[in-house]
Amino acid sequence: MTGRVLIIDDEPALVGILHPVLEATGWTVFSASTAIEGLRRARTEAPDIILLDLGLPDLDGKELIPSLRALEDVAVIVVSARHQEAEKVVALDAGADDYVDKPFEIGELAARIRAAQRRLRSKARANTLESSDLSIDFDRRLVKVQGESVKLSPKEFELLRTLGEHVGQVVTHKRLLLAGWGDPNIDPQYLRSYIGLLRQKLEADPAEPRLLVTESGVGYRLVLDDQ
Amino acid sequence: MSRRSDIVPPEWRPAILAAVIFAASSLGAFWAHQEGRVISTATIYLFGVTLVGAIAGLRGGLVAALAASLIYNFFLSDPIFQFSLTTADELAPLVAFNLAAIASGYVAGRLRDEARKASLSNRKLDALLNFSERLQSAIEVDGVLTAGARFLGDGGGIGLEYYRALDGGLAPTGAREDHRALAEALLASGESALRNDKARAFAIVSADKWRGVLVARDAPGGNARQEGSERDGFITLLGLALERCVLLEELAQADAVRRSEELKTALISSVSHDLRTPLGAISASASSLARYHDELSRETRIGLLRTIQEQCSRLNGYTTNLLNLGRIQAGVARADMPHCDALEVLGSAIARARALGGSHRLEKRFDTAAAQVHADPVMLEQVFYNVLENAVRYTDREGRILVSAELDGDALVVEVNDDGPGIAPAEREKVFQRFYRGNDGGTTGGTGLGLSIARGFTEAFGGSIQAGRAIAPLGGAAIAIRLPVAGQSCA
Repeated sequence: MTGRVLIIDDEPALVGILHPVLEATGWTVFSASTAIEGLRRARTEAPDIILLDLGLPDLDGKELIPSLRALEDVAVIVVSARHQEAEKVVALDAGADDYVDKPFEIGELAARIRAAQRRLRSKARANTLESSDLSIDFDRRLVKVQGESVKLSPKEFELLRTLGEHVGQVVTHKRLLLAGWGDPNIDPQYLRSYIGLLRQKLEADPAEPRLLVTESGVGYRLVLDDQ
Repeated sequence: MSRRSDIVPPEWRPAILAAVIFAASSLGAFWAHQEGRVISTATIYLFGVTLVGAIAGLRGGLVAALAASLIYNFFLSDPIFQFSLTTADELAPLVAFNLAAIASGYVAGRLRDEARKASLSNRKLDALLNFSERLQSAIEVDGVLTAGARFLGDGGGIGLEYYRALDGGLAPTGAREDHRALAEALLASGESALRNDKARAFAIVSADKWRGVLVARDAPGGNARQEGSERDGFITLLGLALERCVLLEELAQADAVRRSEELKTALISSVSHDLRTPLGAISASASSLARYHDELSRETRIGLLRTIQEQCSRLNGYTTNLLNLGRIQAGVARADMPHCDALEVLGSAIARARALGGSHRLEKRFDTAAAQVHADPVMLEQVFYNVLENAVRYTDREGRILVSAELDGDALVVEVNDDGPGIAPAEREKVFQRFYRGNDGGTTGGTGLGLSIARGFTEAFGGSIQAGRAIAPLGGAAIAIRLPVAGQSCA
């Protein structure tokens, strides 16, 4: 996959790495070291993906997210050394598509960039999701695990649909509660129970989930190996 | 108060007034007698005695009545110049004068008593209001006790002592043995109050915990005018105020603990962020090399490897600074430090700073060949290096840095001037604060530790370090390190 990536980060060493490496793997790369410059470049360069650091010199990166999201067809991935869950939730609620902790491995970052771009490309709601482990037909509400049909309750299906629409990306508790219950202020314990039920039905070993991954304090992520 | 009160004591005034009235009515009575008006004579005297009774009270009234009776009997009624109580006419004035004096004196006395009571209770109320205001504004145990002592001192003579409960015992405040014994007895008994013949002890309890004991004693020589129930009321008020103070103190302590915890959390978060940043660059470089080795150009691969090297040394420098921070916090003893040549140490720091990269012009201007100082050479090199590193960070890659060293009296002054953006006057103290990172935009890779460590070490050497404006034509920042020079014999 190729596209345009804008890196907004004030750490020259990291920009110095990501710039040539992403270019070598087919991306067109731009960079900015301040929020103001980042917003300007985001408007002029029409990036598909923005990698956003939160600790910018002129502005907290979180405050930049709404302005960046107001642009057409852009995914914002927060890349930050701040690991507090509350901060991630705020960034995601503000409109960020995903979150990558520093330090990261380039493979992880590349996977998140690919997931974000896939979601951008399938902007119209995807009808199906196919992988070796799991296949979902959203329209016919059919779910198969390794070819075997699995019966899901309507609420389980809605949760899986929301995770599937953002496959590879983190989905916050709030968004999942909204999808399943229509109310983001419901006790998250319900969500945990339903995720537990889904794992029972979808995971090879529900005690060691590999498809429905927990992002502690933030939400859940549907991970499909070959996506 | 009028000026007359300065001449005549207030307590004498009614007596003088009564005497004047008595004299006037006597004169009136004599005049009426001369005129031959018998009834007017008696009436005038009766009126005078009634007035005196009203002014001077029962006793004064009776004295006046008796005197009036005698004068009337002797001078004014027949037989004149002779005492006689044989007829009803002679007895009547005596009885009438005395009855009038008794009646008016009684009524006046009652009125006066009421008035005195009212004014007394007004004074008490004022004092109580004053006291409760002071209690409300008192936020420390001492303040409460002072307010209490002042109030009771005004009103009635109870001495106050407060014993703080401390680790199951009582705090050793300089107080009297017998009261302390009473307080201890109360603590041991577990009761809320205890008394002996001289003093009473009250437990100050809040949140089900013993906070202390308040002992109230009759002050030596005090006039215990306060009624028992009032006294108990005041002591209850005092007890409540003391409880409030104790709670406030605990709140303040809890607040201090919480703030120190917050600070620690902020430090840890800052430190972990600063450790993760170079780690992030190392991890991204290494994983890129591993995953995309063949896709990357040779230059890119070398660049990534160089980044790893640089970031490792950055991590190492940061770790050194953190360790030094711990060292400063643990306290540095100057006595153990050897003498060393500060200029030799400075030279080695400059050589290290040159290796920081960039093409800075680092110039030296030393006005002295050597300067012995009383300092640990490793720590001193860290001071110079941190200041130089700071100058390198905050100037352009082509920037100019001038290091000067000169003797100023008994001190060696090393100054690092640069042509960077400089430090605003308001920032000149802040730059030495831990984790403070000017308006660098985070682009310098600084950690906010370098200058704070430089100051900590310099002060440990008995020196000082200040920020200012660099000399012309550089005009950027200047950091001046001043170190006391050791005895000449070492040079």
